[in-house]
Amino acid sequence: MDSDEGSELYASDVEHNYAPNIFKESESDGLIDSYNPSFDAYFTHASSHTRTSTNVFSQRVAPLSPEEHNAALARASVHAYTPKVPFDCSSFKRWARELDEGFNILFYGLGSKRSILNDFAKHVSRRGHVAMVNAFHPSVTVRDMLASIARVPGVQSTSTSVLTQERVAEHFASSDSPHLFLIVHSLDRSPKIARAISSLALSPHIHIAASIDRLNAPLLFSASQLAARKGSLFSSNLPTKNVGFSWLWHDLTTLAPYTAELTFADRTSISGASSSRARVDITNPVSGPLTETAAIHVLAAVTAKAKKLFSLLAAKQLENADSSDVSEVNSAHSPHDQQHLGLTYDALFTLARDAFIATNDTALRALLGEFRDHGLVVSAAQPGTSGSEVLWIPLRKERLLKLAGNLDGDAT
Amino acid sequence: MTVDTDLEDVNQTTVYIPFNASDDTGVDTAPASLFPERDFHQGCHLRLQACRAAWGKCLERMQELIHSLHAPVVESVVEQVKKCYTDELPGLPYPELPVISVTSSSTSSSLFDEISFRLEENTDELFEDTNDHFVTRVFPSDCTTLTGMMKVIVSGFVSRSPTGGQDIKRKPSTSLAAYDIALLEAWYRAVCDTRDDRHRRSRLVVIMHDFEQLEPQVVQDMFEICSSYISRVPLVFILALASPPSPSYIRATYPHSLLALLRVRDCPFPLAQTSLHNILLETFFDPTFEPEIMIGPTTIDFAVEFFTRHNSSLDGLLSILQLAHMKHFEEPLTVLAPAQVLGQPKDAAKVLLTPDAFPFLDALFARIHESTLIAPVEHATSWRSATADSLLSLVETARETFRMRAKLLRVAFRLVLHVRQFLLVQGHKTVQGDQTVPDLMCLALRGRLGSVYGHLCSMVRKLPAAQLEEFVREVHDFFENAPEDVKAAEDEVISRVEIAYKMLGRDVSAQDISSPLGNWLSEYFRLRIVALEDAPLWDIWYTGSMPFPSELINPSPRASILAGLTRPLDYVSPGQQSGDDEDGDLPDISILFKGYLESAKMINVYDWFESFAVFLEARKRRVGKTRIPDGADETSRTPSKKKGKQKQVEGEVVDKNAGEDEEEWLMEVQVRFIRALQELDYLGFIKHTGRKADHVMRTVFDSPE
Repeated sequence: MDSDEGSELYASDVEHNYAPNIFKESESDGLIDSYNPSFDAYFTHASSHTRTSTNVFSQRVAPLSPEEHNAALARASVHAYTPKVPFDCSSFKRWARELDEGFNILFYGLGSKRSILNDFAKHVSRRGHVAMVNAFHPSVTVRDMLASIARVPGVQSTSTSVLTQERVAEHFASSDSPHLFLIVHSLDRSPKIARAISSLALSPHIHIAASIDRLNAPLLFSASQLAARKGSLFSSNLPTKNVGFSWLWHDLTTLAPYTAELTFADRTSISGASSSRARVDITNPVSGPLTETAAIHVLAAVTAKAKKLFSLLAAKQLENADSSDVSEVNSAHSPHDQQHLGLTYDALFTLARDAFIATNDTALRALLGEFRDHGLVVSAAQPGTSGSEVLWIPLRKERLLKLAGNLDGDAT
Repeated sequence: MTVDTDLEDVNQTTVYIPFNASDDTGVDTAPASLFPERDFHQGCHLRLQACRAAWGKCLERMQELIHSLHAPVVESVVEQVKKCYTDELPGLPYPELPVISVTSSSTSSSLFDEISFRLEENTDELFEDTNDHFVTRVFPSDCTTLTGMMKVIVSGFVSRSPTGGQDIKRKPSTSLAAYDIALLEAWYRAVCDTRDDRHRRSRLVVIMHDFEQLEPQVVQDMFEICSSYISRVPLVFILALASPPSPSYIRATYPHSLLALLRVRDCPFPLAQTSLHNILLETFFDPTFEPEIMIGPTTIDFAVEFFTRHNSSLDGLLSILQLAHMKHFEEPLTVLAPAQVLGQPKDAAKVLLTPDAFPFLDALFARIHESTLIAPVEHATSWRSATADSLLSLVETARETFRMRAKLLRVAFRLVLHVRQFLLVQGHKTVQGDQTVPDLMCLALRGRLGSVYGHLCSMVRKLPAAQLEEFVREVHDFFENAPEDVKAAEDEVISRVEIAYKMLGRDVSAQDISSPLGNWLSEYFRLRIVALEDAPLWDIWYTGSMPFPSELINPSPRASILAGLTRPLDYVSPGQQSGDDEDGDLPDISILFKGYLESAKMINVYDWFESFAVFLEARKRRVGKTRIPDGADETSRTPSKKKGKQKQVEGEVVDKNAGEDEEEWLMEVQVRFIRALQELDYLGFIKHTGRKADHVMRTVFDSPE
C-alpha cells in the first residue's frame, strides 16, 4: 500500500508540475524538452561532486542573543517584504457547508494559515462547539485534545473515567449530540494527533478543518484513509469503527510568515526548526551565544582579581579594536573573527604580572579557568606560530565597551 | 475577548470555544452565490435543499448497489467464521489458526462494519444459527510492537463485560497484564460460563485493517502466540488486504513455518473495474431509475480516471459524485431542478416576483427565449405576455422534455450495450473496440456514439440465420421489459422489431430480416443518442462538460508550495503577470529559495548566508538610491564581506554612526536569514545530515522554472 501511495503521489506530482497556471508559460513555449524532471535533477546532482567552501556558519557567524534578535526582528519587519494574499471571509460559509455535507477540510499551501483558521474557528462557533489544537506545539498530546473536547457539555459522563477517542466518537455519533468542530493547526507536525483524529473524523457530528505545511505531508495518510467517507453505507445506525479522513483539499496559500509555528524553534541554531532537534551540537559546550547579562552574572560571582583580569583583557581587546581598521571591526561578526583582536597568552601573563593580578602561570590559569568554563573567554592556537595561545572575549565591540564600563564603574 | 487572546496564544496546546448559539444561527448559513448577478437570496437555500435531495436519491441508489455487491462477500465471510472450528480437516497434527483474507481495496471500508455487525448480531436461536461472536478491530497504527498489538487484541475483547452488564474495573495489581493472552482466555471462559455455552460456539474475531501496513515480524510473533492458544481461545482473523489475491501477499511475505500454522481462506471481491462500471451503469443508465441530476462526461471521465489511477475505492467514487452534485447546484438556475421546489406554482410565482429575485427572473427569461421552447414565430409577440407563471410552465415543459430525452437515451444506450454484448458472445471480437463502458457512456452523452452503433448495426445486417433468431428474440425481450412510458414513446421501433420477430417464423431468408433490422436499429440509435446539451434549459438537470473540481480530491500541495516560493507575486495579485522578479519585491523565504534552487546537492549554510546578504544589500542599495538620491551613502554602503580584500571605503567619509548602522544591518540580515532558513526547514526542504559541518542537504530537486 505504501508503495502504491508513493507512486500515486509521485504521478500526481509530476503531472501537476505542468498543470497549475504558475507553470503554464513553460508549457506554452513548448519547451518540454528543457524541462528537467526531479529525478533527473536528483541524479545529476548526486553524480556530481559537491563543491562548497569550507566556511562554517556557526563558527563565522555568532548567534544573536534574544535581545539582539528581537531588536533586529523589529527592524527586519520594516525592511523585509511580507506579501499579503487577498483573502475573503466569504469562503467561511462555503467551507462550513462542505463540513456540513460530511467532508473534512485540509488546507495546504505556503504560509501560515493560523490566523485564517482561527477566524474560521470563531465563525463556526456559532454552529457548534469548537476545539482548536495547536499541533505544532512541541508538547501537545492527544490527551490535551481530548481534555478540551471533554469540556463540551455532556461528553464526559463521569469525572473519574478517562475520556478516550472511542467514547468521543460514540458520543458524537448519536443524532441528538451537538456538532463539534476541530480546528487543527499544522496537523503534519504531530502524527499522533493525526492518528487520533483519524478515528474521530468519520463521526457524523465531528467536523475537522486542519492545515498542513510540510511538502511531504500527504504521505501521512494512507490511500484507504483518504478514501474513507462519513456516513456508513450500512443501514444500521451503529457508529462506524473505521478510520479515515474524508478530506477535501483546499489551497490556502497565505505567504504569511510562520511566526507562531516557529515560536518553539531555536533561533540560534540553523537546525533549530528541524524536527530532529534531539541532536545537540556537542562540539560547542557553551550553548547559545554569550549574552551581556550572562557575562554580568558570571562576573558578579568571581573574585576581584578575576574581575580585574577580565577588564584588563577587555581593555586590551578594545584597544586593538580601535587601532585596527574600522571596516574590519565591523565585519567581525563571528567569534573567530575577533581572534585577531585578542592577546597571546604570554602577553596577557606579562600584563597580569605587572598589574599584580597573577604572579605565576598556575594562578593565571586558575583565574582564566572560570571564564573559559562559562565561555567568557575563548582561546585558540595562534595561526602561524607553534603552540602560542590567543585569548579573547567573544563579544561585540560595543557590548564589550559597555561591559567594561560597568566593571570599571563597580571598581571605583 | 478572551477567546481571541486564547486563540492567538501559542503557548496553549488546545483551546475550547463553547457553542455560541445566541445570535443569528441558521439565519444565513448558505454560502454566498458564485453568480450574484443572476441569483436571489432565497435561491441559495433552496438550491442547498435541492442538492441534498438530489444527492440523497443518487446516494441511496448507489448504496443499494454497493450493498448488493458486498452481500455475497459478507455472507461467505460469516459462513467461514461459523464453520471454522467445526469443519476441520481430520488428521492434522495440530489445529490450524483460521484466517480469512478479504481483498477490500476496491470497495468501501464499510464492508467491515457490515461484517462485524453480522457477526455480532443475535440471529435465530431456534435454528442453532447464533452469530453472537465477538469482534474487535485492529488498525496498523496501534500495532508497531508485539506488546502493543497483543494489548489491542486482548483489550479489544476484554473491555466488554463477560456478563453483559456493567464494565468491570480490573486492578492492575491483581489482574494479568493487558497484553497477556491468558487474560483473554480467562475472560472467554467467563463468557462461556455466563452464556451457558457448552459447545463454545462464540468465536473471537479479529479484523485486521490495512494488513499490508503491519510489520511482518510483529504479525508473525502474534500468530505464533495465538496459535498456541487455539484450543482454549477460538480466535479467527479476518485480514483486510489491499493487494490482489494473486500473487498472494500473505504467501509472499510470511515464511512457510508460519503459514503452516494458519489455514488461509480467500474471499475475493469482484473485479474493481467491473464493479465500478456496473455501478455507474446502474445509477445513471438504468431505464427504471431516474437520477435527479444526470452527470456529464467530464465527471465520468474524472471518476474513472481517479478510480483506476489513484484510489480504487467506491467511497472515493461516492465523494466524487457528491462533489459533482454540490458543484452543479452552484448554478442559480438549478433552483428549478426539482419539481415544485418553490412550493405550489402560485407560491413559486410569488417567490419569483419579489424584487430580490428580479435578476434571476431576467436571466431565466433570457435563457427561455434563446431556447427552442418558444417557436420563432411567437418570439416577436410572446415576450410581452410573459409572466412568472408562464415562465414556470415553460420550465415545466423543459423538464418533461429533458426527462424523457434522458430516459430514451438511457434505454437506447442500454440497447447498444446489449447488442454489443450479444455480438461479443457470438464471437464477433471486432465489436469490442478499445472503448470501455464508461468511454461509451461519455460518447453517448455527447451524442457521438455513431461509429460504434454504426459498426454494430452493420454486423447485425450480416448476422447468419442461427444467430439472427436469437438476436431478434433478445431485442424483442429488451423492449418487452422496458417501462411503459418508454414503450409508448418508442412504438415505432418496437413495432418494427415486432415485424422482424414475426417474420422469423415464416420462410424468409435471414438477409431479408437482418438487413432492414440493422437499418431500423441504426435509425433508432441516431434518433435517440443525441447530446443532452441540445435539450432546452439542459443545464438545470445535466452537469454537461462542466469541469470537475478535481483539486478538491486530487490536489498537488507540492506544486502549490513550490509555486508560492518561486512566484509569490502571482498569489498576491492573481491575474496580473508579474514582471521580472529581480526587480520586484520578494519575501525573504523566496530569496533564500532562489539560492536553494541554484545550489548543488549539499548547501554550505555560510555560503548561502553570504549570497542572501549580497542579495539583500543589492536591494537595499537600490531602494536607497531611488528613495534618497543624496546622502544615501551612509545607509546604503555595503559592509565588505571579505575582510581586507575588498576595501571600498576609499573616498567615503567614515561616519561615527556608520559602524553602528552596519552592525544593526548585519544583525538584521542574520535574523532574516535564520528565520527564512527555519521556515524552509519547517516546510521540509532541508535535511540536516550532519555529514559536513553546517551543511544541509536539498530534499527537492524539481526545477519549477
